[in-house]
Amino acid sequence: MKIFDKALKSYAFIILIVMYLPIIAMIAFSFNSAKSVGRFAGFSLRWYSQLLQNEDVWTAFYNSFTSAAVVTIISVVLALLMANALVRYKYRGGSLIDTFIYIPIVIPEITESLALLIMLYFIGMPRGFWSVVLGHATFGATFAAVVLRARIAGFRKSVEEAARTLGADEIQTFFRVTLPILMPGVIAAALLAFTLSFDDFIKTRFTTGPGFQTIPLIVYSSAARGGVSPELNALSTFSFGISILFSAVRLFTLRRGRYE
Amino acid sequence: MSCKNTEDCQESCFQWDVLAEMKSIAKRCLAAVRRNKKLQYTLLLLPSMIYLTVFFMAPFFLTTLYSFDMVTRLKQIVFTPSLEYYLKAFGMKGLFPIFLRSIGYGLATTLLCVVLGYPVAYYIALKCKYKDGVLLLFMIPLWISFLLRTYALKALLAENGLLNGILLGLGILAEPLEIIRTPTAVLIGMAYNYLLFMVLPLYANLEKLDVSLLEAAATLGAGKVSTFLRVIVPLSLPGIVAGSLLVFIPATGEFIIPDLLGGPESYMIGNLIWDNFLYTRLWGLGSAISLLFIIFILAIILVYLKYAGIKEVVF
Amino acid sequence: MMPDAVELINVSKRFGEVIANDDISFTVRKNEFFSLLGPSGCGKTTTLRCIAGLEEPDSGIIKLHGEVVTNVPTHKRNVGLVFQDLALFPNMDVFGNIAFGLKMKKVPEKEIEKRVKTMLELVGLKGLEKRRIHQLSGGQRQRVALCRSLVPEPDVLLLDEPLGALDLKIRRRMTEELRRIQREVKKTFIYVTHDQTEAIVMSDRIAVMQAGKIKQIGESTEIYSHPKDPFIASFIGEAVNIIKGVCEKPGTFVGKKLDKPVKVEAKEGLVNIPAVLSIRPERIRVARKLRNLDNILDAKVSSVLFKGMYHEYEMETGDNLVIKVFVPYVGPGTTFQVDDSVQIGWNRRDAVIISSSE
Repeated sequence: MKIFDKALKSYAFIILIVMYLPIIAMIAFSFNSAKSVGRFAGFSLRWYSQLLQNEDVWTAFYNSFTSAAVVTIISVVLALLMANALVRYKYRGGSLIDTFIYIPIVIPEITESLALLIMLYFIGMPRGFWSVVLGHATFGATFAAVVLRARIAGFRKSVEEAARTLGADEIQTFFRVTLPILMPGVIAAALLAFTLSFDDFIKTRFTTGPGFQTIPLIVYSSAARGGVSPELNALSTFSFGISILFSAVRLFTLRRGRYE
Repeated sequence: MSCKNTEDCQESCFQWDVLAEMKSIAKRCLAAVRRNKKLQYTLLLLPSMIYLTVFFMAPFFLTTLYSFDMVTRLKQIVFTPSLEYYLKAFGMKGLFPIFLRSIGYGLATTLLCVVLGYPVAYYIALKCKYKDGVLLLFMIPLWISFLLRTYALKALLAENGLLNGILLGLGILAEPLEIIRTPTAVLIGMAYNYLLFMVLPLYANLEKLDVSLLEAAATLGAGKVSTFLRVIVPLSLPGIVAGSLLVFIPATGEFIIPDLLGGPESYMIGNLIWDNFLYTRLWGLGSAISLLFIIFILAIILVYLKYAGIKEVVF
Repeated sequence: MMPDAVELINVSKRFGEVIANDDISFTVRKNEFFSLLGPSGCGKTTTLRCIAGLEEPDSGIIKLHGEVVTNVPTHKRNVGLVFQDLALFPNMDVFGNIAFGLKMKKVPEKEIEKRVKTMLELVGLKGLEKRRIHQLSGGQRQRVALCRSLVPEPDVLLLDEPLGALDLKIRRRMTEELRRIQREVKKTFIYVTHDQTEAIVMSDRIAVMQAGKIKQIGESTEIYSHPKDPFIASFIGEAVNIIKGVCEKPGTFVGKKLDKPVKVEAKEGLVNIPAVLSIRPERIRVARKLRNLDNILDAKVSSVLFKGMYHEYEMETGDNLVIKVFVPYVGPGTTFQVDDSVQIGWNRRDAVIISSSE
């Protein structure tokens, strides 16, 4: 059945190439000297320098970054508490809480965003940085909890008990023993929450206020208004450069954590 | 503790007493918490539960209230449910077709993903020597957001995009292909974005497949095709189900892809909610539509799960 | 009078349906090597964890050095605990692990260094301060866990089956090591195990547990030669012969399957109740013809097993009753063969009568 296997392999690689094609094309044309995404005229960094001079882009980047950072902190703290509690103690309503926690991941984002908007309006919260952050943290915490749960499940309780017999109270045990051991998982969860928040579009669009722009928002409005262009390519390339960077670090951390 | 006169003394003594009292209360609380394991974990769980309730349950609860017209303009909750908005929704010309269309796209996407993705998962799980590496290669595009990937696809398929550039440049076509703003583009975009959501669960499932089962089938006289249809496919059913749900639910409610890649013929629920919500303040109508959508989806999922005979889907 | 190191009074603990500790009371004296011995699930680990404060008993009192500690949290009890899975901190090196308890006590750096180094020398791990935990062998990890618990100078050291994961030979060596270390540091050790050989070798006193209760407490030799019930008799020691019967009058035991009554040490209170005669295989003499023993029975050899130091014989006597006999091997030509007709015998004091519930 060698032919079959060969065909299968070829197929898989064709799919792989198809997956990467639009992305590679986008990166390539961001360096296009002509203002076109169909015809490559020559190598040029003009679009990137244009980006760097664009104040709106800088502001949006700053907003995306800071909001993602705050979201990460909130998500990780919440997830640590949640995952710890869930894994260590078997609640009577255990599976119910489980389902409850997984719902944010499964629900279509647009319905969730809409509900959030209603809520923000109802409680009269001003829309801007904090409304975006609090909305993101909901699913950031959930995703982070999923990552942490796997990590905590493999954690041996006896190490904490050992610390207690050696004179450490609960807080000392947590900071000197539990957290260092869980650190790779915590970092992975943090990077995941960060990436999800940084890249988020729909929720942000619903919960943002006038004047608060993020990179995805700019990408969308440019794409919706002007269609395709190399400048937009440059912005997109830049944006996902960051995503790839964080995800790569996350992968590396998880791999390394396994040896400990 | 030095005092200058009796009044001072009484004041600081009083403060000292209050402080000592608070300290002992705190100590007793701590001891109680220490003793009761259940209490400990409940306290641990509380912050996240509160957060989720406020920022997740409450919004949906409010949405429901709005949809039943139980909230006044002054933000007061009244107990006069009315089906006004639901009726309006049903009366909306084109609502039902939009629903059906969204489901249609969802189903089509799921099907496409199964057909296109199954061989990929099969290859990596069963026939690939460098599983981890190849899997990683496939996962990297996932690290890029939907928005950016959809935009990249648009750039590729646009009238002035690369595909047309090549086709025109090579002289294969005289006029550019108009792919964008057609249902085809939407389907391509959906399949492109959601393929991996099907491949990954399938891969996880197939990877755990016991090879000895395949060998047993062979010793019992089953050829390759038989083995595939009768052994592998049934065993990979949980993966297919998991993947289908991961694709169908978000795909049906998709907004970005029909918005960037599609035209008026591919106007979906996501677009409807977007337009009706962001630019108007028709909370009531929008909530009703949104809830109808959620119920619709849940119903389909339940039917699907029952049909597939699986009560729990383990992620 | 010096207070006992540990005292448990009527301690009970249940987990849902399972009663792990059923009204347990015992005392452990200062500087004693005390073992809790019993089969898996008998509740010994639970008792240990209650003493450490990791579990809270449903009822009863626990005292450490005369002070009631039932409500004192673990980190204030100053007990050391060596865990079954050792529970070494993977994020610290050997030094960090051992120094942990001292850091918690806020001991100055210089002294920490001194004490850790001394302890490492004591257990034979000199120079390994900077090693990471995963680089150590099983026996080395063992000793690091021991150091870690001993260095903060706890009042009592608790050990929860710490030798389980080791190879047989290393385990035997560690058993003797532990005994030596205990004598040197002069601390009270409470050792939990299901391996009766370990318990017998190391302990001053043993408490045998079964199904949540303490069945017998005493010195190893005492428990070995005078077990209080058939369960203890068969649990302790390599093998034991249990012969069912009844004492018709003090001093005489009628075995159900024995040809004739045997003479036993007279004990009031054991007459006319269901009982068993318990005798260790090594206390039975064998020869073609025996003289000068309180009890002599005719038997036939039904199986012979060579075990290096001794032969394990199975003899059939009376009504198809099988009796195990151990005979030290002193050289070729001194063994019996299957189907040989022999006589087996013992004196009164070689056997024990135990009342049984059957």
